[in-house]
Order: sequence, then structure tokens, then C-alpha cells
Amino acid sequence: MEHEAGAELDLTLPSEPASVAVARRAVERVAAAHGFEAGDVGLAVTEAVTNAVLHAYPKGRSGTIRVLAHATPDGLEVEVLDSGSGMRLNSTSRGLGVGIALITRLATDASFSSSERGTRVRMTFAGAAQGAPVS
Amino acid sequence: MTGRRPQQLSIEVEHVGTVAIVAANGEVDLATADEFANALDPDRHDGRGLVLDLRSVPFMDSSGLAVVVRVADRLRDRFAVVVAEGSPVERLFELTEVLGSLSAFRDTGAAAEAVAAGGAGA
Repeated sequence: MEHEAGAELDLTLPSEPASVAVARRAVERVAAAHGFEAGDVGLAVTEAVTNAVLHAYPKGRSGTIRVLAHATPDGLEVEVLDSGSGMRLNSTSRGLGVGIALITRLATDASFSSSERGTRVRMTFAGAAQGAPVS
Repeated sequence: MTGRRPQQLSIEVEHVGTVAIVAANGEVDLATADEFANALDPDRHDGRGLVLDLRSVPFMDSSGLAVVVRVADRLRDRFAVVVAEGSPVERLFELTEVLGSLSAFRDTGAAAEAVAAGGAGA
């Protein structure tokens, strides 16, 4: 019963600042529909999409960012993917470190994978029953 | 064209003596951070201290946080923020552990008094 028809999300957006809010609102709607803490999920998604907009594509090259979200028995899974040149995780670029720190703090589980074919940020947010993990 | 919906951030500025009260209304993220930074640029306020009222900001990310921290570093005790209890902005400040280095208040009056006193002591 976790997979309500229409609640799942597969969004492809242009890599530009205005897409950040579009992605945030869309994922927050999915989170709220499944009883997750929408504010935390929205902030984490914002940081992931912001990193993609700022760092995935060289200046002047257009690209897209794909945002996926769906609820599973383990929680809400959200992925942010780009086809850019790869995120430099040890970069000292402004904002990058804080954004990643926020994602790892907000998500129950977060993984970052990056190659010359793009970057994938995968985040899981535990179920709505806060503080009561089901073992 | 739905993906291009512009975001609204409005900024109101009031100069009261040696203090500028900057009230932001709207979301602060990558799309609005430059506008937010411009409004807070200390050079635009003739050397006044700054009170940043964030009570009508329903969302802020690390882009906005970077602006706040930059202004706080520059103005030190002549800068204060006003945040609503339990708000997303307060949550962001707690998560990033910046509250300890920010002068934070619940209302603009107390914040303005603190900033004016900070300016007098500088």
C-alpha cells in the first residue's frame, strides 16, 4: 500500500536555479502524501539539486537534472541525477561542503556516486513513525 | 513553461537611526540568493548596523545561509537576526550549528537595541 498511484515522481528539469524550487515542491508533495517530514526532505533535495545546477555542467553548456522519488517499506527514497562532468566531492567550491553535510544530516542514509558520466545522489528518509525504527 | 515560474522574494528596508532593519519575505535558495545578498550588502546601508528579519521566510537553504554568515562575519556585533521559534530557518541554523555564532532574537525591537548597542561599543 506504500505505492499510491500518482504519488511517485520522475521529473526532468533544466539545469538552472529556478529548477531548485520546482524539484523541492514536487518532492515535498510526495513526502507529505506518505507522511514523511516534508521540510527536511525538501531541504535535502534542494541541496542536492543546487549542487547539480552549480557543479554538473561547465559554464555555457546546458543540461538536465532528473529527480526521482518513491516510497518503499523502508522509507522515502529520493534520487537526484545529472549527466554532467562529475561532482568533485573534495572541491572547495563555496557551498558544496555545507550542502553535502546537510544532506547526510537530514537523510537517514545518503550516498554519492560520481563519474565522468554524471553524479547520482541517493537519499533515504526513514518512515513517518519518527524515532521508532522497525527492526 | 511551468518550470520557469519565477520565485518571489520581497525585501523591505527601514532605516531607524544607526540601524537598518531588513525584512525578507519569501523563499531564499539558489534562485533568490543574489537578490538576498544585495539587500544585505552593508555598503548599501551607510555604515548602519543590520537587523535581518527572517520571520516571513518559509524556506532557506545553504545558499541563503552563506549570505547570512558572510554578513555576520563582517558586521559582528552590529548584526542580528530575527527568527520565529520552530521555523524552517531556525531548523537550518540549528542543523548547521551557526546559532552559537549568530545574535538571534524573536522580535525586531530587541534585535535593533542590541545592534545599536553593538555599534556604540565598537
